[in-house]
Amino acid sequence: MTPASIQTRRDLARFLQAQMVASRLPWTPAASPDEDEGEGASGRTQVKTYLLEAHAHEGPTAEPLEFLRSIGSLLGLTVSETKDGDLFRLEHSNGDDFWCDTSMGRFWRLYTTADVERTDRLRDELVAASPWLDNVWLPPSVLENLPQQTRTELQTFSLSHDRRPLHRADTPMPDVDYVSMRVWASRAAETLAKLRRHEVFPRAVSIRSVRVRADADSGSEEFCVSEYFHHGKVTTTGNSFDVHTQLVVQVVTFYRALVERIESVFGLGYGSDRQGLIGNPIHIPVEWTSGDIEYAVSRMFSAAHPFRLWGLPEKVADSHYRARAVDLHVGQTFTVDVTPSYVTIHLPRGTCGNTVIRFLAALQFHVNSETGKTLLQ
Amino acid sequence: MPVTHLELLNVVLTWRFKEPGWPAVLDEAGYLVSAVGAEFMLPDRRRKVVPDVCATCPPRGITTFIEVKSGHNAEDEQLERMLEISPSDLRDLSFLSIPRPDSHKVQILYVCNSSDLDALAAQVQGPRVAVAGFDGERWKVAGDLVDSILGRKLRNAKVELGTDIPPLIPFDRDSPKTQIARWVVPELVGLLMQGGGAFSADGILERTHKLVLDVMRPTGPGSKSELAPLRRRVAEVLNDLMTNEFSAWLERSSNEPRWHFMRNIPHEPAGRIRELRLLSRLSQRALRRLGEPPEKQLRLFDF
Repeated sequence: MTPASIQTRRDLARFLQAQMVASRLPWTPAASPDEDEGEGASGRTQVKTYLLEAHAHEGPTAEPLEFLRSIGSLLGLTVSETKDGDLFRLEHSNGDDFWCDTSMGRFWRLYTTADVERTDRLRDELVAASPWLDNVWLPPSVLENLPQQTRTELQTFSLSHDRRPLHRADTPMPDVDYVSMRVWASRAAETLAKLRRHEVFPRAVSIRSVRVRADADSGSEEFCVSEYFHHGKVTTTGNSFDVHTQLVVQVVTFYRALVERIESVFGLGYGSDRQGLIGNPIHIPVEWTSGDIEYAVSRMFSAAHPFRLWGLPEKVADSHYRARAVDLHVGQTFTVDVTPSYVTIHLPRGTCGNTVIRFLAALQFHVNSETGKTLLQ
Repeated sequence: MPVTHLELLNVVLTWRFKEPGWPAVLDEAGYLVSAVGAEFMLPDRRRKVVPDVCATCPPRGITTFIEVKSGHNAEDEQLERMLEISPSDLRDLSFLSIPRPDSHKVQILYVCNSSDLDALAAQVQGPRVAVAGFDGERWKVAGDLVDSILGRKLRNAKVELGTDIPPLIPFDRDSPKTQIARWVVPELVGLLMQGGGAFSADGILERTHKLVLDVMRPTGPGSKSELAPLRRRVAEVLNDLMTNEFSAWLERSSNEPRWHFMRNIPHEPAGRIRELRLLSRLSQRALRRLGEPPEKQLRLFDF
């Protein structure tokens, strides 16, 4: 089967399953230093699924096809329909093929088997090209719970925690300044638990990715081994695309529930069904790890990585800062109050819950890995 | 220390939400806030009254008009008008959901600084009328509230010390220009990130006042709301920015209350961050020119 001959979701599943099988090699640590594909003798790369959140209905175009065509034209992508109305083929001028499955509403799945460096870049360009498209962000605490929630086996995980962006370079860091590691261990879950129990990296165990094995419920030999990254990328090998799909759908369903819960419980504004103001502020207790909060606040709203928020923070009282923040991914605004003991977010009704999840993920990666866990459960 | 009308109004709105440090007395007493700064028509369909907040408790069949006073002078006529409104009027003229007008009750609650409580309470005595004076931590209630549950919750409520009043309504028609600009500028940046184009003062208010905009709209035919003067203040700030720090960014469409962006934020990452930082510097400069004290502003870093 060639990419051009794929006309249905079933065709795509058969094609990608063949790629999964072909890319499967005996796994060794040396072959896969991080998220790199570990391309082997077969020359095949792993199947990649990029989880995206689309707001095409709010953007200049109402239909996914038109929306994809409008941003695809900027990026050298030719977008064509398939026989499945919500599956689209994206053909890059460099020869790489992508398929975008929009059947899960606002949560899209972008599949490809092309080289990871090029496909990561294209995903970044797609998201940057429109405020109506964003990654699905899986915060460290969500990734950590993923094996338990999906009843899969944790095979390996990576950590990434970096306090340096919010900390003055000229002042000493009290304990950990950064952690970056990938753990290969026969009992990954136990190892992770030990890291926590012994406080090897206090408040800095921020999961960047988890690799899990999922087996078919039927007791057959069908399985997949998938690595879920914090920015919504999933790389997969194994022998069953169906098992991979079931797992992805489970993760997206959980993520969708999380986003929608944040929007419905906390979105502040008028609720027409109740004929009155509804919602609530989001109150997040924070144990800061950077000594100078004013510096951290300046950094958070400087438009730079990792928060990617623009704002004009003001000092409203001693050690109390406030900013009307612009989420540079989507151009929506919300209000953030920062004090030495908490962060409060006022999220206007209609603002995407994804904005809050990304903000919490940044706090977990750069301030304290334990921040906001309850909210993300 | 006495607080402004807008701050008192925001204090009242904290009663509806679970704001950290603030007691949610309206929420706990089962109330919904159904109007803020909206006109209510009187039965003669000519006269109107504009209470600051209208809150309704459907389970117990009570509507409370809340009037915020930053001074101690009440307008007699305003109180009379509020007392004149019947539950049927609320249902028929203002389209509030009042399932049983016969048993529904309407009460009036004035909210003021505690220093004005006695003087105000002396002016607005009567059945169904009470006054709550706020001292920064607690409310002292004079008069009788029809709803004893709300009265009890209000008397027992306490604000955590050191908690600032949240800007649920960020500015009103009387706010200084600098305060309005502080909220308008981020919305300009948000619009730029969404592709720029043209926008109106209403478009900005849709974003800054998202929380209350729908409950600020007119409540029935022929009624108006606080929106018109707010719109004028936003337009005033936009014109100011356009002729000063944002002259290279904003232009006003001739003869129309609309503005459009003359340039866009580039897609390319380095150019994008350069322009966003330029906007930060211009914005801080604008706020200082409009009178914002330098100590309120945080230092901008080029990270």
